[in-house]
Amino acid sequence: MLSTLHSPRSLSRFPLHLTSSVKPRAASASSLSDYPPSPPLPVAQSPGGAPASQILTIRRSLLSGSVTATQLAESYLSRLRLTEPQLNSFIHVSDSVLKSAQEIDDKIAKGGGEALGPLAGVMVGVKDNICTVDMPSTGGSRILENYRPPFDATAVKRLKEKGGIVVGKTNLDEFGMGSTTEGSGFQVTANPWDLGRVPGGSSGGSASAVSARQCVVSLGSDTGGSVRQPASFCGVVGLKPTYGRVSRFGLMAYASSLDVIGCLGTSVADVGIFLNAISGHDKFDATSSKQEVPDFESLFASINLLESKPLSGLKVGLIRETLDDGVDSGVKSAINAAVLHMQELGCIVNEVSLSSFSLGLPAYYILASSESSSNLSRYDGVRYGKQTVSDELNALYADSRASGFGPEVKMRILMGTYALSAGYYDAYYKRAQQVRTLIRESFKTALDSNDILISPAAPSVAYEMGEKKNDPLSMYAGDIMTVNVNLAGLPALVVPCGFVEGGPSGLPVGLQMIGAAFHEEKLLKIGHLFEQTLQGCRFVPPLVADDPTWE
Amino acid sequence: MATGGLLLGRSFPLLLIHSSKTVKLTNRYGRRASYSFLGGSGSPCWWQNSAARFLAKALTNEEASDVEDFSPKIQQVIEWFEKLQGVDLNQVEPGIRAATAAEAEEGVNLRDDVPATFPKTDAIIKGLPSYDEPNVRVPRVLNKED
Repeated sequence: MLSTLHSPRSLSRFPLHLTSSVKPRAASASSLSDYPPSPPLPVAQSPGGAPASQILTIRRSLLSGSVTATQLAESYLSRLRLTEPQLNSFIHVSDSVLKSAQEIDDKIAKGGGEALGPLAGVMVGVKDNICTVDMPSTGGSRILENYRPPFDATAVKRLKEKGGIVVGKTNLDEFGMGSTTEGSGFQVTANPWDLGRVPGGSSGGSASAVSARQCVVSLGSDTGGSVRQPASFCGVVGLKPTYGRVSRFGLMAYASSLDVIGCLGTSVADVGIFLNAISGHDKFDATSSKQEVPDFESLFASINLLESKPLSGLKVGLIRETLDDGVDSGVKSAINAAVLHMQELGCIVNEVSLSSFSLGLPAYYILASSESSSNLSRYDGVRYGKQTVSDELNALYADSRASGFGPEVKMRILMGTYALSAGYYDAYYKRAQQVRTLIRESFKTALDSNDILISPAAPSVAYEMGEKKNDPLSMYAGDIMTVNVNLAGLPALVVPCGFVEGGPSGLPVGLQMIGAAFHEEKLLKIGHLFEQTLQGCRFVPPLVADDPTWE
Repeated sequence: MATGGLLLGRSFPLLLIHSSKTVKLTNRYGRRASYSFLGGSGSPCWWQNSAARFLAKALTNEEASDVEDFSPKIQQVIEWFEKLQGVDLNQVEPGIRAATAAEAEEGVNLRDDVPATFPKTDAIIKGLPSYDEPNVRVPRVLNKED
């Protein structure tokens, strides 16, 4: 298997070059079909063509006047219109994108750059299990079809305050339960690298949207790998912060002790800037930490300024159990190549063994399904969501839930109820909590003697649609690389590191980097250097690279 | 603790076991369904024991074919959960969530216990499926236990 397939298609740059004759247009709320082809946009190019921060490029362009927020918005909406019939990344697209963009242009016209937030003009996709007051939030479930929350999630509120424009709500496995996005109650999302393959899940819509350049960055949620695995499958950067770094207020709860809101983008810098915008204590989330949020934006030095071995002396632990049987040989090959690359940067890479690693998967599914059986009891058809007609209260509950929930959700609720029931609680739930303690301690021991740990983000590349739909254990097994990190509450960053043969131009492989609690800045710094110095790989899917209008 | 399975009510099915492989259930609403369960050779599967009542409580109005589709999958997963039984967890404290050193330092992060009126109650009321001001409308409970 080729681990660093250099596809000529992937050399295309995105976005495009601006011509100075383009004038700003008045914003108007209208449907997608009204958007004409829009002018090309400025592009940032790092030496060697490595991905540059689109957020910083947009900010510079807005401040210099070379592009307006409205032009940017029109360009992204135009691209979304073209690609969405093939991808189905979005459940709902906002009809106030241009209005928000015009407000930014008006702010620039009045006060110049001082009034702009760090995310000004940045198009953001929001996973549909994160509440937004101006758009439906369904959680990917028919039981919440057309439900409009009365409030924005804290993460959404913060990104809006900083100038971000929510372009729409992205598709997901129902309530975050799944690893393919095929579990959505509404539509199946495709992988931009191969339209017959899954984008991963449950944040498949968010990953697909970023990969296809339908938006700049997106919010996802990660309970057992739901940001990291789709990031790997779609060839984008995904970050799961430390539990408590980002407020969960407004995130529809799946497993409250494991859920975190995470970020996806096309570069580590974008993900870091985005994380900075949404992090911090929130009085509405008692589990959100008061730890100071570092200025992640300051970490991203130009690689021109670096010495030859910028990570000299950094100790990296490669988790031995993640390269065992059951991992695709192409993935192993890509990870081994990534290890060599890290050594070239000066890292000291050793193997570490986490003895309780294999216990993480059953422990996770016991805990997650148990907590979800409680969290999803609120969907009873009474206060919100779908209600079936019934002349008896218990029948109303049963009928509303039976008709509103999908099969995977029902299965997990049943499994969770069983694990928590009298006579089984000690045997399953309590034991799983004890295993969580073991896993946390083993990670702590490993991170006491290493700066970061690394592993593949998934044991395979993106598989074909329908391949795992009727085999739950096979799908669950794909989470082996990610669930332990959620059990330990640690931060993890996934960076595309290579390709495996498959699809029209190869399928991306993601490298997962795991750090100590609240040490996202170390992960981002290392990830940025890794990404900027990786030669021969450009992670632009053929859906974007092949379109002649984007050259 | 979970508040219960899919069904939050208190209906308990009448369980009639006809064979080691087929269970007929009837509940308070008079609905009956036959469910076939996987069993090992000669050994009853967990559905036939206490776990069968969860299925009945949760899915009283499911089609039998849907339940039969679930059964082998859930059986597989429950058997996989058994993997934790062989682990020595003596003296290991259960971890409620990922407690970190920072959480231990920060202590309790609860906001002040001061009541406040949510400013968008109209939006909440608009989202109610069935509203009969000032009450949320639901059907009555007909089969209340004595």
